[in-house]
Amino acid sequence: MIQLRNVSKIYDNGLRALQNVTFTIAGGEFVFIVGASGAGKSTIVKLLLKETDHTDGVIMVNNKDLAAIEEKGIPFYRRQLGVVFQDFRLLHDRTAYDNVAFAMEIIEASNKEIRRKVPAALAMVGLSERAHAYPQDMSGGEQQRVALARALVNNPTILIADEPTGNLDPFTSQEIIKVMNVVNRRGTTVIVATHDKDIVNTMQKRVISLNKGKMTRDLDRSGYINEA
Amino acid sequence: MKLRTIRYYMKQGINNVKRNVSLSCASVVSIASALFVLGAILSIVFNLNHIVRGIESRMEVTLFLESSITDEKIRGMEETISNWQGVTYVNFISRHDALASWKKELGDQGRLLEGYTRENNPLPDYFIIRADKPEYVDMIARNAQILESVEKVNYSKPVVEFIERIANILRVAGITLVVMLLFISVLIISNTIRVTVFSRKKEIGIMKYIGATDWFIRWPFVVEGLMLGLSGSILSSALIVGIYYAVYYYSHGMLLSGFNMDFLNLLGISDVVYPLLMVFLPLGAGIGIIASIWSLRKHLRV
Repeated sequence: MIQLRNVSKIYDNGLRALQNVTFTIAGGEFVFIVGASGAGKSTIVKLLLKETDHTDGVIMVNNKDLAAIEEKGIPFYRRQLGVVFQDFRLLHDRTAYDNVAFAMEIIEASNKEIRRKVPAALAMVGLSERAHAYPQDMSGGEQQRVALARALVNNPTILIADEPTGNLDPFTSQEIIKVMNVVNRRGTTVIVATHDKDIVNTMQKRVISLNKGKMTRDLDRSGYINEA
Repeated sequence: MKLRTIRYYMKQGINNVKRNVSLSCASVVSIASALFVLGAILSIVFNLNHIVRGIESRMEVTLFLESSITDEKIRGMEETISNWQGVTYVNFISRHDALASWKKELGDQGRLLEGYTRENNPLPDYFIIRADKPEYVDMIARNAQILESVEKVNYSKPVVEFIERIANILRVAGITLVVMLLFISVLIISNTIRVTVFSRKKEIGIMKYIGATDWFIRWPFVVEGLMLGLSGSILSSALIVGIYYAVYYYSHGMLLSGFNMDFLNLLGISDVVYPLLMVFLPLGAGIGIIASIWSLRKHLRV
């Protein structure tokens, strides 16, 4: 469960990125956070990843107050989350398989476990045949699926995606979102920050809209609504 | 820590070193030169201490007498001196004996002294006094100084003090220089590692997002720093061993060829090299580790 209560974020340069944002996302939900660039979507993602700290309010993730997590605890907190970015962020000197395996290596999983779970994660995103290809030999959609497999291989309770379709064509974007929907149906909470109207409109899920750092709407089974 | 993880750290660390060979070499050379200077100074200081110990252990006072002294006076002096506390041995050596033994010592080159005869012998008469403990030497020398007809008293203390002063100056100046050089080495190594860090910035970011701990990210760079530091200390050790070996055998050769130069009786190679290795290896390793941690500190904040 994710809970934001009156959360504000003012960056060091004085930018008020978020003002008084409040919402709760229950376990197993699929939520879009939408808005034009600069609306505050990325700030919410950064706060949830604890890449930066909020200035005001309370953020609870899985019953943990993020403000109470110390520097040392951040890696362990992040292991409960799966993250996907617009630019995929894969390691280019490794194959798809090794990229996914790497996420398990850093948490010191056993070799046996790695051999079992990595192929399963790649199969879930439909990339079993491309396991030994390198990122630079893959299409954008394939790379994003590798990133998804990597995000999911450690069974996170929450999947956070920051503009996951930003670098993809509309068809591939739909494919990626479908994979996320499958993940969601298996019980993982999915949060997608995006300004991609098409995917929001096709999915008809809960949509939280932001405009200039303020929350303007929070609608169930919605499409993308343009802010004036 | 799993074996696989250690293998990963090692492999990544080696890759880091290979990634910028020229900078890695510069780092190795800089740390090697800093340690080389340290090694040179320490081997000199070790040897000076060794010389001091050698001189102190001799516990000898030499009393040079005025040329006008009479035989009777000499006998009286010998009597007095042998009654002093701590004196175990008093020996009078006449100027004639001194000249003869000097001629003998020079062997073939004794001809150089041919011009000197009993009549124009420039050497003084002297006493050699030995004490049974080093603490008496000072007192014997002071007593001797106030005796009549004594021209000069030679004993170890002023020499020892002089050598110790040189050793101290060397130590202070040397350590200052070495500290500076080591600081420069830290800068150069951390700069080298920073270049690697920079080229792997994206990777570090990814690792942080998927929950890698700071130490997991840091280790490969620590391995890199460790390799650079250890290579530098091995290189400088090899240089010091080589040069010390050469100097040692050169001086040994001079001793064997009959030069009476006690001070060239250097410490054995193992007496110098092993202590140096004990200093170099941890120092090199430590510098490498400090430099790597230092260069990473900013980049871990993601």
